Amino acid sequence: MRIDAQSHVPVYLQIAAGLRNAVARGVYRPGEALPSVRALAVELGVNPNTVQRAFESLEGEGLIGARRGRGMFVRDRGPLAAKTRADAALAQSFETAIRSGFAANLSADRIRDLFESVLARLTSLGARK
Amino acid sequence: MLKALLWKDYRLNRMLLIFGAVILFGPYVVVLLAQWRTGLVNASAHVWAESLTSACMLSMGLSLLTICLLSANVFAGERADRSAEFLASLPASRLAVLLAKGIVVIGTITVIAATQWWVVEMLIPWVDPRINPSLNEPLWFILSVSVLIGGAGWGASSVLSSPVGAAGAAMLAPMAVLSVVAGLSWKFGFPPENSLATWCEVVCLLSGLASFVGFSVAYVRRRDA
Amino acid sequence: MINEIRVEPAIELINVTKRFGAQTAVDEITLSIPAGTVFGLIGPNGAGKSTTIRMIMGLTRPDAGCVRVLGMDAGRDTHRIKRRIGYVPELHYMYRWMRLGEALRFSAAFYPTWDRRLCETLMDQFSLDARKRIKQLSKGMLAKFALVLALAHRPELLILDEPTSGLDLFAREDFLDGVLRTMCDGSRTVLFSSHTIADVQRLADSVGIINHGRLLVHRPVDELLSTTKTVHAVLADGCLPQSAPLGAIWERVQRREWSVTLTDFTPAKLDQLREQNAVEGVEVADLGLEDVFKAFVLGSTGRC
Repeated sequence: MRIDAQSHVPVYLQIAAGLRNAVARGVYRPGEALPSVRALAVELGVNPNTVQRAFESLEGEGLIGARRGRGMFVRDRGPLAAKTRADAALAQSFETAIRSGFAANLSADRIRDLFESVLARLTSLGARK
Repeated sequence: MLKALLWKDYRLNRMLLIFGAVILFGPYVVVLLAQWRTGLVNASAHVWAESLTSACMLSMGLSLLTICLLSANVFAGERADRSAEFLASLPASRLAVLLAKGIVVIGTITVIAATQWWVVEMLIPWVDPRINPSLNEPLWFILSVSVLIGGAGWGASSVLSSPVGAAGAAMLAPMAVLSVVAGLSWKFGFPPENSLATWCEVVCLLSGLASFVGFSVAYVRRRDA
Repeated sequence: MINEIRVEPAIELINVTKRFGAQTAVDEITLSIPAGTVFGLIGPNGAGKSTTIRMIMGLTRPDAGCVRVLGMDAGRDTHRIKRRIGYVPELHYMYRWMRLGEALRFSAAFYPTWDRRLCETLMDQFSLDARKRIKQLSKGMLAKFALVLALAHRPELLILDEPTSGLDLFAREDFLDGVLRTMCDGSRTVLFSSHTIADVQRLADSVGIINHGRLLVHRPVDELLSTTKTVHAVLADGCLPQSAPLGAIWERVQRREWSVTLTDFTPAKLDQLREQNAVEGVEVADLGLEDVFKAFVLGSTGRC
């Protein structure tokens, strides 16, 4: 996980996204403990409050939960929640891309054509494992 | 805290103090070595007394330099390389800082004065009881001038950022004070000529002490670092 | 990480002004930094950051206003305050002839709370050799040693004045890592000024932007970034911008593109902009802290 401190995306959202990604890919499995706030803060080089916020955000999504005195652990439905959010994140990316398409005065058909061609190219390249 | 400051001030001025020790005791060592060549026990008391007298004059005169340089460097040295700023960021009370420096400077002056006094009043008469205590007057005169040099250097050092400038002030102070006293005596007849030397000594002593005390008080009460 | 709620702020400046001759270095700054938070102070060179920090440290007295640190007046109780603060200045003037070990023992004499073991741990962490002399240290090692001096007595408040200026990448990361570890160790307050805005974005809870001695903004970092946005609008042919919405801090017109940076952005302001100006095609861009900083500074000087 890398934090881009110059990005316009708030750091805590970057951390949350990184952790969500990790849970979705199975880096952290249900029942396992996440690194402590302190450890993660030192590793990423960020304010521990920011890590705390990221944890709270993921806890709100139901991805992780707090264990008494033992930090955060991944919930059973963590991976599913992560994937759901991944869907939502992808939809958000689409929205951003389509909006910029509209801003560039592209028609809906043109945008759809572009999408299809990119998808086809990536699929044939074997990007989909 | 005072111990740490004393150690620091001693280390800062260590070269100067060693130089001062060499100047202070060197002439006597030279005398000893010279007599040794001609035979320590053989030399007459008169010769001993004369050599010691010359050594003492040299030692006293040169030690003025030590006092001048030491007192000039005591505050201004740290301002010249800005280490005073580091000291200012530490929770050190100004009084403690002042005390440590004061101990080093006044201690040095005391050692010098005590050594010369012992040689003039004790050693030389013991070596040759018949000799006229010819060094008494010069001794007191130089000692009072050294207090003035020390005080002027101390004061200048506490306000200037250049040790060289402070040393200059320390050197000029006795010249200024003595010319004022002499001038007054010549113009107005007071102080009278026969006791001029004593008057000079007193004025030097008092102005030196006043400078020490005055600038020290100003330093402790200063508001900006 | 804020485990306890202290009533008084760690640092408080009330209408503080400092002049040097005809020049006003600090102009009526009012600032309150809660205990246990990390505050980043950013501004161009000569903006007044160092002067402000020096007043907090008690090294300079303000001409007007009041500086309170840890509940005490910075002018009167300088001595007691210094015991509880760790300070890393921008330029280091430690006694160059001292060995590191000697410098540590010297400094320890002034702090009743000096922790020998913590000191050793920090020296190890930064790979500093106590037998070396200060004049032999590289810039990076000097900065790290200054940090050891500042942290070894377990201060409640850590003040860093452009601590990483001139440091190479590794020294900078090492240094900030050291600061970060102490942040995690307790509810300490940290104030640091920096030109590396990315460091402020990742480490600070709140940020203050200062220019020409004035505090332009003081907000939590995330809040500042989420509520400050730049609107890019294409102006209709032959038209000029009529009025910018409230909270516009910077704007520029280039060809037909009108860019406005807005604080406290709301969709309503966007609508207002559309209604009051002849624009076609409006885009809203999120900003990083560097962009926000530039907008505030350029906007305050009237430059584009």
